[in-house]
Amino acid sequence: MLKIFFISTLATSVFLIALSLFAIYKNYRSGVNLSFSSTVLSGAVWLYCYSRAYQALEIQSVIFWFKLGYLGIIFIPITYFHFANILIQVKNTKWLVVLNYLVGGLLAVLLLKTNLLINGVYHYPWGNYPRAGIMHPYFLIFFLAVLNIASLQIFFKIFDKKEVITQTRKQQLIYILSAFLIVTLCCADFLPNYGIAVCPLGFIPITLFLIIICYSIVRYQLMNIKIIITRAGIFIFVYAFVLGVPVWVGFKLLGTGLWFLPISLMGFFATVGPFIYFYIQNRAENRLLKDQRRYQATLRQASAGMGRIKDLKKLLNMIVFVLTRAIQIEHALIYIYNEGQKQYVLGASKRKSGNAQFIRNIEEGSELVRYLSTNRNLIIYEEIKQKALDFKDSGLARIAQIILSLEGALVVPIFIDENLTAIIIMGKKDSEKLYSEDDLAVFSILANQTALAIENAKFYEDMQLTHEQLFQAEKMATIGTMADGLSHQINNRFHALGFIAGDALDTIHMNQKELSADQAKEVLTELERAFVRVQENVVQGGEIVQGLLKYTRKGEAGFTAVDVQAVFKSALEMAQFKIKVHELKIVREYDAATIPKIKGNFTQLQEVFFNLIDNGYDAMMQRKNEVMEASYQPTLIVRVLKEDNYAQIIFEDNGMGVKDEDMHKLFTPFFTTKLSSKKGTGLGLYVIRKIVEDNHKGKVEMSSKYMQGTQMKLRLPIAIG
Amino acid sequence: MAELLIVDDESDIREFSRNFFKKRKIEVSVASGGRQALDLIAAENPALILLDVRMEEITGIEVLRELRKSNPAVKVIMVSGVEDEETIKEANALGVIGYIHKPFILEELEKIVLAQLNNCHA
Repeated sequence: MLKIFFISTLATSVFLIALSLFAIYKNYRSGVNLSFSSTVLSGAVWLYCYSRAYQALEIQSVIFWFKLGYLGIIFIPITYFHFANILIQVKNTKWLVVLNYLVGGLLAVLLLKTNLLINGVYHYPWGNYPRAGIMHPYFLIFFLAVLNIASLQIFFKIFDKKEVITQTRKQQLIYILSAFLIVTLCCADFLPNYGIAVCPLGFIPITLFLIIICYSIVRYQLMNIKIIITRAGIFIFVYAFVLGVPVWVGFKLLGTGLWFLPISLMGFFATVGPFIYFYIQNRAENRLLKDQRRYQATLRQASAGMGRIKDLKKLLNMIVFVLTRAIQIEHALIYIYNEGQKQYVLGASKRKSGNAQFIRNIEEGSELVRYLSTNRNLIIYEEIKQKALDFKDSGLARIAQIILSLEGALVVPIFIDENLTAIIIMGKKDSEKLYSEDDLAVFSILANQTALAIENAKFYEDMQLTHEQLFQAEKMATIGTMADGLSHQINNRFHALGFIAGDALDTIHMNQKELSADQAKEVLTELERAFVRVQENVVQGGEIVQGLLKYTRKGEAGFTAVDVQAVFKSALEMAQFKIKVHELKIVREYDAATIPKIKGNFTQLQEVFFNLIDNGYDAMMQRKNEVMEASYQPTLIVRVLKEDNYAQIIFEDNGMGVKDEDMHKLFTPFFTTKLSSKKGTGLGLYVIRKIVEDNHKGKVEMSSKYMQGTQMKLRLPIAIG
Repeated sequence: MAELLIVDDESDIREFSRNFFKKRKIEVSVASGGRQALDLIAAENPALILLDVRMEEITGIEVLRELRKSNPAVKVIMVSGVEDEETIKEANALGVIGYIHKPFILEELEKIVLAQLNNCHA
């Protein structure tokens, strides 16, 4: 038994000393921390000296250590009062604090120089314990009074309606008050002073008391008060039982001397204790955290689903929607970094009520951004505001100001690699509850998930852009291959115009003389004919230019009901500038009247058809020129079939076909089987697949037999209505 | 016998050049493609041929090659817009007397044709 008290008290005291030093280390200039540290130190003195006294053999040194320990006890309420007064900034109580210290000094003198406070020791079965002197009851009154005054001050501060205090502040004060209620249990340790044989287990509540205080003040971190109190309560309850029952049994039932039963009971309870403790704790926390767990589960689901959204705007909207709905907060904003503007732009916002406008941009150089980039951690508004006050830091104050202007309670930074990519601002919870430690842990995970999802969406956006650039590049390259055909066609228009004009002029020159009516009529007929032909040629030239313009124009974004025949016609018109269309026999195997319209983009589909005609032509010309079959007739068959909600468009040629070994390479960008690189960019099939499958959600299938021909099947959605 | 044969797949070219030379009392026959041209040459033995290079059915160069097999002497002027060096070289090798680039005006053509036909008659 002696050993247990000795080790427990010694261990607790060592822990307290460490805690005291830690508080000073955190901020040695803060009065709050210093007074807190002295309270902890007083406790440490008490427990350390008592542990020495439990171990001492000589009665002189037992009394010496007990008295020294009492010195610590005297100063516990005094330093605690001091600490409480600084903490809640009570005005005009400095004299009370000073008075307390003076009384403390007086008590110290009485303690050390007389036997008025401590007069010898009691011998209990567990060891020695100081015996109260004549003055001890007065000390006890002082002790309890000071503690209670301090706690009442805090109590009134918390529930003062007139006082405006922040949520964090309130929370801290609740911690302190709760901690005090726990420490009251220590007062039981005064009972053995008066000869009442109660085992002094004060080191247990005092440890808990200090842990709670430490959490709320030194670490400055928010936690759900309910949880810690519940945990502490259960711990005390279970261990009081585990340690208390055997001791009680030992004393009351068996008398002194029979220690076997209580010790085995203690062994039993010590074994069972942790299980009971964890069981009760689990049950209690499940109840307390029911709501929280529910929304955390929602958040986890949401973050898992986020990765699938490819549209950045949609993704951002989903994030703010989920946040406001799942956590039930007033509002949520997300700012995303815009590389062009070098600032964070409001990407999405959601608020439950009202429609206050939030700033559209946060500058890259703003203090909030710099702070987030450096600290890479969440910012709690209440916390940073408090820090700004405590440290009188104007930088932090400005950050708090920015967050306040966004009505934020919590700021979550989103990093991709080393870069701050997005900033999520979260408003107050509807319940006015604070964000708990567990919440923050979930948000950290959410932040990571969000970062991935944003990166994903951004990547996809870039890809889209790259694709569009690729399509455009492919078109331009194709136009390069058409340059020859185009100039020929345009040149021929000019040439014809020149001849028509030349002949008309010639007619005019030759008929300068007086003309008979018949002659005049003849000349006019000739001139009329010439001008009709001029018009015709101009129209033809215009069509060439129009076709070219249509083809080069960037694809209109919209999807409409597209007429397959019109697409085929315009693709063929463009193809004639590149290939000798007249060399092909084109067989249209579809019913022009019933052919379905496709839900698609005209320009993109024109590009697809163009490439298919072009590829078919090249394959057929290759066969014609290389194989030299006498009866060979290059034939391109175009079929359109209807299949549920899809149109099956088939281009079938009787060209060279593709060798099996080349098949899998065909859809690779820049791969070409065409002999002359002048003919192909190597992008045709790649572009076809991208347009049909990615943009139109259709399907491209290709089958080919070497020396027999190739069949390209497009499956495209039919326009509804 | 036609003095001048114009081979071109553009109908306006055929129509208006024929009108133009008719007014100058020059016999003109026209062909819309290579095959027809070869037939007409065989049948009419023109003094001068204006031969378009790029035509759909068979090209002017192919017509020229074919023509030179049976008729190495007939005067041929190639007419073209966008042909490359190689085509010009081959045409020269096959003994054409000229190579005119489209577009050009009828007056210019008239000078060239008259000069060549007078040369013939002289």
